[in-house]
Amino acid sequence: MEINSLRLLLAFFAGSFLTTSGSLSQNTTQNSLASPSTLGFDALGVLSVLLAHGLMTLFDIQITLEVFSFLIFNLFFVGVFFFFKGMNIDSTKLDMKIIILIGLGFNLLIGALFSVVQFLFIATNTKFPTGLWFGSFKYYFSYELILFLLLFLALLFFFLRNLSALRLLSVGVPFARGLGANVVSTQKKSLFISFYLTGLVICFFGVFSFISLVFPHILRLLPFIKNDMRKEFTLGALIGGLFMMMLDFLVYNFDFYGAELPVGMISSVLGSFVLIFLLSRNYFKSLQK
Amino acid sequence: MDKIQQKNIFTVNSVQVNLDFSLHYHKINLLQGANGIGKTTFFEYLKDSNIIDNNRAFMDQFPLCPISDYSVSDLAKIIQEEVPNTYSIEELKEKFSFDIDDLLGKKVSFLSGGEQQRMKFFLTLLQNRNIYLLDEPFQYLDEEMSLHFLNIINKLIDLGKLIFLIEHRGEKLISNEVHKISMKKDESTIEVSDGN
Repeated sequence: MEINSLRLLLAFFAGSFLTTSGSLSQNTTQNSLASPSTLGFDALGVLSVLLAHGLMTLFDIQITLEVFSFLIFNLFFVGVFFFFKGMNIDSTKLDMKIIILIGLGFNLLIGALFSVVQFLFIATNTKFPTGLWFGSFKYYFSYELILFLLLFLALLFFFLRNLSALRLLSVGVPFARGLGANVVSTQKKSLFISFYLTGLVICFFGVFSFISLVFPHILRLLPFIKNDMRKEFTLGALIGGLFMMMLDFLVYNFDFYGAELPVGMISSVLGSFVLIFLLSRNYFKSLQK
Repeated sequence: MDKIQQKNIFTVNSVQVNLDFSLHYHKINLLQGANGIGKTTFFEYLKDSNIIDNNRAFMDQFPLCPISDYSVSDLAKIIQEEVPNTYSIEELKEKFSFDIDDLLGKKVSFLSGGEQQRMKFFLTLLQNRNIYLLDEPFQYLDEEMSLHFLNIINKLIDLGKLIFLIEHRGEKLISNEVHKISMKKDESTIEVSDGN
């Protein structure tokens, strides 16, 4: 058994960030279907990687794909931020069902675009970087740990300042407003943080589908977290990180016919399976005569 | 301080809003106006405005749809931990004869209309504030429960609190002295003023 502590730490931060992203999106939108993937955040992350890869292939840019993708993603982030600022939207009237549908549509569009790019690569006999699709911690650099650690600390600071408003928001927007929480500001901050953390993980390590959507649901079913938003945001982030760390430890030590299994692939399959099991067990139990 | 006086003119979506009304402590302040005139919109406006100081509790008409599978006691715990100087459930029993034990263990998503209303009244009362703003608090309640709630509202008035109430049955239900506030609307103006 080998332990690669740097890689494990990065897996921990990535797992924490994705779980937190999911919890923040669901808590903020009051919709249990909300997640960085259904809100279209994933799609912008993937688009950044695709664009970076395309530009690097075309112009022979001497920079790592991760850093170039992250730079492009930051441009997208700033663009989205100023777009919404310029639109001057009354966010108290946002219909989250429509936003989720738009986000899903956007995700499908990027998925389709990804297939087109894949086809172009095959048609031109160019090797397609399949490693992009499933998230993995196989390739990493030590500077990433500093970046992830800084963002982790920033996230802790955000929670220290906003945990009370987030907790009130978990009961609903009218409830939180009635109790004097600064709802609009907390919602905006939460969504932008969720967006940024997701993009960051995708740019450096690829896509870990469903983690953000599924993990908050699993957390809420755990007896020691159940119905306590403060624990979901604190203990939940810890558990999400440890889960990702454990998966990475396993794929690092046990290969599959000589190849390392991508963590993203396992987490997606395992996450969705566990969610279906837990939700249907609880739901059908409640229906028993 | 016996009353809050509000005089203000502003424009929302090219409609001019004229506010010229007062809210009185030790009284029920009853907002009246035709259906669809925007009483609830005005109520929602009060939530974010600084007309009323922060020592206030709202009971609105929105159903509570928490993201977690909260029970009524979970919500009470959230309020007790996030809001200073709240009452305990025992204190509510002693001071207001308000008993909610039958609902405490129930999940919010499984409550009936009347039960949701009782829970919301409970959560509002729990906050122990100086000002209570109540939008149709007797909705979905039978006569007996409505009178029980009204009795509690009267006890709050005896404690010197300010009650702002939107209630379509208004005077039919409330026999004690009320301060009336009326709301009128035409195409370009909304007016909120004292009196009928």
